[in-house]
Amino acid sequence: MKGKTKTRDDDLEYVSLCRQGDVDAFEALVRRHEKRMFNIAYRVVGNYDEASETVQDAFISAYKNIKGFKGEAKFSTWLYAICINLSRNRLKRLKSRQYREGRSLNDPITTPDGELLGDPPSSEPSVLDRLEARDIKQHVQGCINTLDAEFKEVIVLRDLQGFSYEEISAMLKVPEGTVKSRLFRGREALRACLKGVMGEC
Amino acid sequence: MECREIKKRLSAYLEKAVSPQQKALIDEHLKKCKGCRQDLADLKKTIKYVQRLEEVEPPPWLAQKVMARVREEAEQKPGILKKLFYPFHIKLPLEAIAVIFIAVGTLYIFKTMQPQMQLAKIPTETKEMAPAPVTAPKKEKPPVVDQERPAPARVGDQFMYEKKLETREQGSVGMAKAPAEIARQEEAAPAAASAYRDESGHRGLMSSKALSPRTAAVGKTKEVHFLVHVADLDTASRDIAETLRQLGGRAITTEPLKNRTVIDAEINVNKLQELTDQLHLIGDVQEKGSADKAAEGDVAVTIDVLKMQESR
Repeated sequence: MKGKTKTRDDDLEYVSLCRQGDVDAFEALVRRHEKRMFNIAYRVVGNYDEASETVQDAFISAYKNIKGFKGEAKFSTWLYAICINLSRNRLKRLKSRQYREGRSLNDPITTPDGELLGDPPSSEPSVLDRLEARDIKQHVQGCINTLDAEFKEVIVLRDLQGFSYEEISAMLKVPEGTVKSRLFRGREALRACLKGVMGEC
Repeated sequence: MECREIKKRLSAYLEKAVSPQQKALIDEHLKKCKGCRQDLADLKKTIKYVQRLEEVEPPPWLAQKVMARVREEAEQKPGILKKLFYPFHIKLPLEAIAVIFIAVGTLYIFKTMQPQMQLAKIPTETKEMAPAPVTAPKKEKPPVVDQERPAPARVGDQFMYEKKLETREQGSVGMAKAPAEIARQEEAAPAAASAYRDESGHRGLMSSKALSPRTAAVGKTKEVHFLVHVADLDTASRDIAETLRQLGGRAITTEPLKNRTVIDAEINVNKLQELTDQLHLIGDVQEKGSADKAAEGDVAVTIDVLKMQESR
């Protein structure tokens, strides 16, 4: 909690510098938040390249509208809300494009997790375990991808990113009760999906 | 509590986001219900699977690319701002300079043009005025001329008068020429010439007679020189020029110099007193050389208009 408060204060300092036209201050904010931004976008959009595009757009949008940040919430909350919004829009666009272009049922739903491919073999106990672990992760991501955007968002923000209900509520601009119910339904759907693809869970 | 109700709350229960009463109820139910326990285990596993998803590293160029775009944006921003607000910083002085330049330029052109415009005006005005002074000498001269010459000769007379103006400018040399020129004018005035050719000799005499008083006057007072000290040079100069015109002055030339204007004119000697009076009204007058009051004809007048401050 202490760490979070410190981060917030630091952000505000950079934000005010940035408002005065200090581009370097914005760079500090980009470097500080790019990883989290990217992870949110990646899990929501489900595509590495699309996610990096989304994050760029989100940062540019934040830079352009930094004067619109009133400081009512944390800067990070405001920033991630932009990221979530743009991710949602991009996903919508991608889905409609896939729909237009036609999609084979045989096409994999999941996006291969590039990070796992790069893992050194020694970090896993055995080839089988590694394959299994990779499989599970692919299935999990695949199931997340099948979720409706509203459930996907809360799962990514809560279970993956660990934001509080309050923060999620601020980011999505929905009441906390809605966040809770969405989370329950999202988890239920995810569980059902995982049970289906992995035969367990 | 039914299993369905319990299952709905398991998600919140796991996160400790339920009230203590609810938590107690769920705990109690879970002890008894195997199905719900299984559900809770599944939920925990699901969340664990999700949480096990590793953080993905963003592309290393991401921040760089973002900043490149941001800097592009930042450069464009002042560009737009410049377009909107630069008039207040740069263009305004430019405009102001342009306005001052135009104003000064106009003033300069106007100042330099003004004397020329006056000069350009003067001939037309003197032409209009010309008949008035012409009648004056005519009235004076006719007693000599008219007796010998009938009406048609008046044309020649007028010519002669105009010629006199010319010759007078040439001074005594012109005077010597005068008879010859008058003879030529006779040719130009056919009516007079044919009828009174025989009188030419006499006329030559007559002409010199007519000129002689004037010549004498010019001889005595070639010119009258006034020094007029005034406060406002331009206005005074204009007033003097106007006065000269009203008094039948001819060949008025105004030469504006620095802090000084020289006005030359020719004026009938009879009007000299009136001119002097008028000049006294305009400024402090110093007269140098006085005209022979008895003399007839015109006298050259030079009026030096001086700015008062400069003179003191």
